[in-house]
Amino acid sequence: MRARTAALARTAYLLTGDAHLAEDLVQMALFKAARAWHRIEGDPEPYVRRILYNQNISWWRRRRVPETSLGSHDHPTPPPDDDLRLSLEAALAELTDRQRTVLVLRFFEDLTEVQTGAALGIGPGTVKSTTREALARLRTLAPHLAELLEVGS
Amino acid sequence: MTGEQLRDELARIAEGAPEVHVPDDLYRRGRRATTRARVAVAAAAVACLGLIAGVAVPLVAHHDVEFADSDELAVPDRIYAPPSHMTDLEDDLEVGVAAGAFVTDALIPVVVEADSGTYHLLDLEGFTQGGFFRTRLGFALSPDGEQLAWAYADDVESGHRPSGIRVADLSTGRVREIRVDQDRAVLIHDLAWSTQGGWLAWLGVEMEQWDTDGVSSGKRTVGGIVREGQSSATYQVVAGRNANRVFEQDGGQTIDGGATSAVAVSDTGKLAAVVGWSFFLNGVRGRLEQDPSLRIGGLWFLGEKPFGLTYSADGSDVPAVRVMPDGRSSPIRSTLDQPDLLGALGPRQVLVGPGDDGDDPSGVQLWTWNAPGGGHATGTFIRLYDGVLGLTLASDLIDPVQPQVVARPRPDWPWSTDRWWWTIGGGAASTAAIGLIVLIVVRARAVRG
Repeated sequence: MRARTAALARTAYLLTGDAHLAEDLVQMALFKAARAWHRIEGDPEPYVRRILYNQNISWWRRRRVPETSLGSHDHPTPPPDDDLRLSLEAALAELTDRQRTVLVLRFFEDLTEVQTGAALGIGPGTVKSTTREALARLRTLAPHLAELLEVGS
Repeated sequence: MTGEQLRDELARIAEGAPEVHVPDDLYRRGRRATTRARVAVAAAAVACLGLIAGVAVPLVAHHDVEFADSDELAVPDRIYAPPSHMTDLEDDLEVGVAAGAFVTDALIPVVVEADSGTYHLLDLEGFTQGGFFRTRLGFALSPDGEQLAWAYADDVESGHRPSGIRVADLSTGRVREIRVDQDRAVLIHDLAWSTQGGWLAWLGVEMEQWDTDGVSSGKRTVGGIVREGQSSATYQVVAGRNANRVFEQDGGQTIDGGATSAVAVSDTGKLAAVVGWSFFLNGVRGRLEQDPSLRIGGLWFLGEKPFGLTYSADGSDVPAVRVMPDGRSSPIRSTLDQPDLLGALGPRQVLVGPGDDGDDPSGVQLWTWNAPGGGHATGTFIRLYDGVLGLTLASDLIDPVQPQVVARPRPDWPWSTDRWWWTIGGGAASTAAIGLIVLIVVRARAVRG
């Protein structure tokens, strides 16, 4: 799993919008997976990812995580399309936790509506409506990204 | 742009994710945490079982014995020893007819009521508790269960200790005192009622010294009889200096072969006693055969004829009922190889229990014999629990033809301080353990998601 840590960190970063929280989330997911290692059969990554999603949801529910904006950490700025990316980051930060998570699972993790719903413990219909609401909100917040956000939902 | 473009943009943002440090010992810590959780679950399970055993089992056990159907006086089918933490004694001896009387390990006298099975721990004035005798206690319940006799010795500032027998009428609580000492204090170690309860026999040793400075027995064993209702006793020298083997121990003296000490009185007032190798019958002293392993587990009269329970200390001979001193012997087939007489019933029947040094503490049997063919024993019909010493039973309450006892519940003894602490501690530990289990289960479910 150590080799997949970077991929997990990327997902965690998108889910939390915070570098430190993302690191905590990945470490906690790996620790929990280590505790249950004897029960894991086959590829452990899907199992760890489930822990990652659920732990993030658990954090929302406990309301321990305040809304934070993406880009608040001090990493070097990537080179291309800085204006566009920052706009999207800023717009993502304005979404609710659920909306952001649904978008990450649907468009970054490439899960179907059914898989996303199963991962988050909500129905596919809710996933669909949440996706639609999230994209609409992003279009409102960042009209210049309308073309980017023209996706079938 | 399409969904592909959004995915690409998200991926580009995700490139800014931090580098996550994974500790080298993460998996080892995980395994340790799993082990700790399992140990916690096991501990919780043990704690739960402990709580159940400590609280629920006694409650269940409390109801597993049927109560008597009637209020008739009867001997209980089980006799329990009160727990050692019970030290509150009653000085009111008006407890009603008793079914049995015994002394606990802590030498506390106890009587068991015949009509309710209630246990009374008694404060008996001056009770000697057998003094330095190891197995004889000077304590006897009358056959009808209405009188309790015990040996006493009062403290005095000078001179020898006034000593003798006190007899309590358990219906009224009144105590009758029969002083027996003459020139010396007498430590009474055996008391026995006649079969019909009209006489009480005693047997003791004259004391050279018996005070706070030391204890030293004299050379003579003395005995006598008391008629029902009277306050004086006869006083006879039953055995001389050679009867007992007396030796020093820890600054005091101990009488060896304690087994070989028994007394009885007939319903007409004949006294019989065995002390060591000496046999005494109605004023005449004789000798038993000097078999080092011979023991006498009890003495009683059938009419005018004395009988004894004999056995060998080394198990070489089968227990027997013998016409004393050296008459015909009827071997008894029994699981008790060191029997102790608890009471005489009808002709040729006695109640027998395990001797204090015996190896079968299970309970009371009824022995029946028919000379000369020997005899047999019933199975155990009164169960005795550990810590019941020197038991005597109200034999009049047991039908010799159809011996019956009554089922009584285990007494509801108050809990000891230790038990309260263990229960409270166990309850708290169990609650914490259950909470921990719930937490573990909830978290495990969250992980499996």
